[in-house]
Amino acid sequence: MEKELKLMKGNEAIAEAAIRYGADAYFGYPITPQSEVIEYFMEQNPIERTGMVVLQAESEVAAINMVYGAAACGMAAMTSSSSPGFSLKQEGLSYIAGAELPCLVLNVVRGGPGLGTIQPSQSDYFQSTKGGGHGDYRLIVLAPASVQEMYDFVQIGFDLAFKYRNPVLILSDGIIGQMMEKVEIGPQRKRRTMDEVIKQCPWATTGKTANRERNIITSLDLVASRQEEFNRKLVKKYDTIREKEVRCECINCDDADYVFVAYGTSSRLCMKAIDLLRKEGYKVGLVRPITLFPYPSKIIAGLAERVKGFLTIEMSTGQMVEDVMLAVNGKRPVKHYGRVGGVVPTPEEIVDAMKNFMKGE
Amino acid sequence: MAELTINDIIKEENLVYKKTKVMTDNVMHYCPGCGHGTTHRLVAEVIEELGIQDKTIGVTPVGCSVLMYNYLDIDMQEAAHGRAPAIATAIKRVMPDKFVFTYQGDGDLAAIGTAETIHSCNRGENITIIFVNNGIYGMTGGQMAPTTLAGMKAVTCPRGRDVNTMGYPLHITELIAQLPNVLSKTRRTARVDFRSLK
Repeated sequence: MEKELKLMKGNEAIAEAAIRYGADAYFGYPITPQSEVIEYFMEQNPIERTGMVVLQAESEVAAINMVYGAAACGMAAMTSSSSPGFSLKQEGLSYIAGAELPCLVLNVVRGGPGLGTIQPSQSDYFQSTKGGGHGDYRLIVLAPASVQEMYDFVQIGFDLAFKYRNPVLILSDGIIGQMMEKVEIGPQRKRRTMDEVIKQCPWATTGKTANRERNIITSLDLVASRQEEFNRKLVKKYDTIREKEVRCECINCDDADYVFVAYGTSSRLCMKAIDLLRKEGYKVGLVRPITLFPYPSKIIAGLAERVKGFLTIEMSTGQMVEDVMLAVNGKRPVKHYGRVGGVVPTPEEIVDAMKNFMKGE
Repeated sequence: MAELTINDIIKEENLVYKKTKVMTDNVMHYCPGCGHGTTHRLVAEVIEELGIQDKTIGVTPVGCSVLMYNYLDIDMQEAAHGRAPAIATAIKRVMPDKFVFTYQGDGDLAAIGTAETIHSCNRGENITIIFVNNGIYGMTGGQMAPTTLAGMKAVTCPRGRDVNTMGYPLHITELIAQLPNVLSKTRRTARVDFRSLK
């Protein structure tokens, strides 16, 4: 069969991917630079195409709670937002993690704090990978670096969400969301029937039939010892995820003396910087974490045995660099270079930053 | 006609009332005199009467009735504070053949969840909201609610609700009744009259 190729924005690709995946529901609220997600959904009218529900909520808070409601029925539900709106979703995400519900959420990051700017940024790393809302929990975090990955990560994300009954976050930014690239589109998958949903999710609130006990979806346990037991169960789940679900790309690392560590848009800029540096004879590579939780700490720790240093490039004042430092554990120098507030570094700036780093500055 | 003996009275054919099977046998955690037991039973009886136990999804709020799912033998979800109507919206949208209700107090529905309440009603979501208004935050210990009466004392208005600084009690039901998509609004009292128990 011939490949179906389309020129799409990242924000459009993610919506099309959700429809084609056979997702059951999307709930959203407009915010720049991700409003194309809900606009594309509304234009496509997926209730006609697949029966998928799409609704514009009154707030980000309502939208994430709608995701909770649909996910608790065993549905493949998603929402999207950008940084200030994503902060509002933290309450709901904590409840979703606490109730162990599967769902997919997208953050098209813009500069902060506060209302910040509408320009791209990577300054929500801490919020995304360390919990974000209250309580001990983790999201599985996928970091796309292209429009194709925006598309592909919808399927990967939903599959992981259902496999672990855990919310999955696609951590994008204003560039990946807004830019247009060629995308290979997959076939339309059928949405699950209600019987299939019940079979896959016997825990879901689909109506208490005579053949089973009632299903209760809650994150509440007023008995401290039982809540602790639940927290331990979550830790065990996150450890399994750390063990099995790390995704990472190592580019030009085999002969590298120094490596960049960068994800998403920054990793694309580093690719160009590596080209420029290698033309000048510098042996430089790139570690691109694709999952930010679980973090590819072991891969970085392995590289720390032989490379001379790590330079993280982030569009933040230095957040992921802390995870690199933890992985390297003092064996090699680790530094950060970044531009913030919506400013995107140029490859030439990144080349200079690496040259300075190699000189020990 | 011979008088009925106690043995006659408890015969199956003479029974006029019994506990609905939609309620579980769990012992309720509510305080003596609380109306939740009565309202829970009314909800359960209606579910039984309509024969919709297998098609009903309930959403519990934050507040005293957060544990309602312990007492009703139906599938239930527990919501974050005020968010029950958003959750119910989604349940009904993804499973339109189910009956979906929320059970919410005044703090939940008329303060922290005002937006979710008004907008779910304004969209005309095909859900039922059971609003249990006691004019106070009960679970957290008697703080002023949006519905606390003018002059009424609460632990966060120990000198009584001052309408000049705390506003008037919010008539949320009347507000919602103005929305064109709201199908019906009814008002009932579930009150234990202690004098009659003496």
